[in-house]
Amino acid sequence: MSDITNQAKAQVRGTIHEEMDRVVPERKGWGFSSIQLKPLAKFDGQNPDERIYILARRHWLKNLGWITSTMFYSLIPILFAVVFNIFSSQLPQFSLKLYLVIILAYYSFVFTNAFKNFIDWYFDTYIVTNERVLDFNLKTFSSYSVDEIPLENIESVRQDSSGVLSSFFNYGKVDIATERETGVIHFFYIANPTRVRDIISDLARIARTFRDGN
Amino acid sequence: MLELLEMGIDFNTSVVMFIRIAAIIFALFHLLSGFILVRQMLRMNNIIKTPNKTFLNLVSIVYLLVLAGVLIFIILLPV
Repeated sequence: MSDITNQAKAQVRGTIHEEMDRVVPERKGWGFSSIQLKPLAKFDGQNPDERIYILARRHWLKNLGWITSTMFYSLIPILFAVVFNIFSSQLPQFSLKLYLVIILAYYSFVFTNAFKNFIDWYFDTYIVTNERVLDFNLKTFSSYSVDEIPLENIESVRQDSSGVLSSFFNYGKVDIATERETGVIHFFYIANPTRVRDIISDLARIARTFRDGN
Repeated sequence: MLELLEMGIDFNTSVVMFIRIAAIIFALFHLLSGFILVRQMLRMNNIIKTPNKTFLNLVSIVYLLVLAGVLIFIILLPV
């Protein structure tokens, strides 16, 4: 009897996977992409049958701020030297080695700042699987949290793309809310929000259909 | 400054010493924060396992080595 039940369960699971694979048919994106479909990734606490359909991070454009500031900070010592040269002023008469010490300390700080910003972007991840939606939230030097919503509890998925830049570069916010709106997950600055919204609502519909046994 | 020199205080040496000590303290705290950052990154790398895991682990080790190198360099360099 239990064998038959297990077989039936496995069959249903297979059908769900087939249906969901139709929603996201092929792998897309590479390791550092803002959005990856069916990525070659795993996460802690992933169930044996759980498959990742979307792995998303903030749009690459959101990195432009810290990349620009890092480049600017890197140029400051050179700018200083050029300005001193133009105005024919002399730098204070310290040894070259002391300047080397100052520059090394300065550049290592600039490098750490860039590294911190990169980690902040890379691990602030949104994951959509065939069972749930997860929001990994990392605050460097302080905290790390994960929010999750089961797919079948998703009631509404809302997309919000406002502003010139967001329409030009195709990014936006996707809000995923449960029935009672007690749990809401926001995907901020997601690339291709229309596709993401569509995939999540389709996956949620499939999950709900099989939960209700229709 | 002339008055200081007349008093027997080498202003230049004092400034150099001050900058050097400040750089050592800065590099030390920097190394400490680097440790925290790398620890956090290795932890996150185990939580979200992507194909870039090995590369990122390597980068974080290189980063720590650079910070340690800077500290050692600042301490050992005679200025």
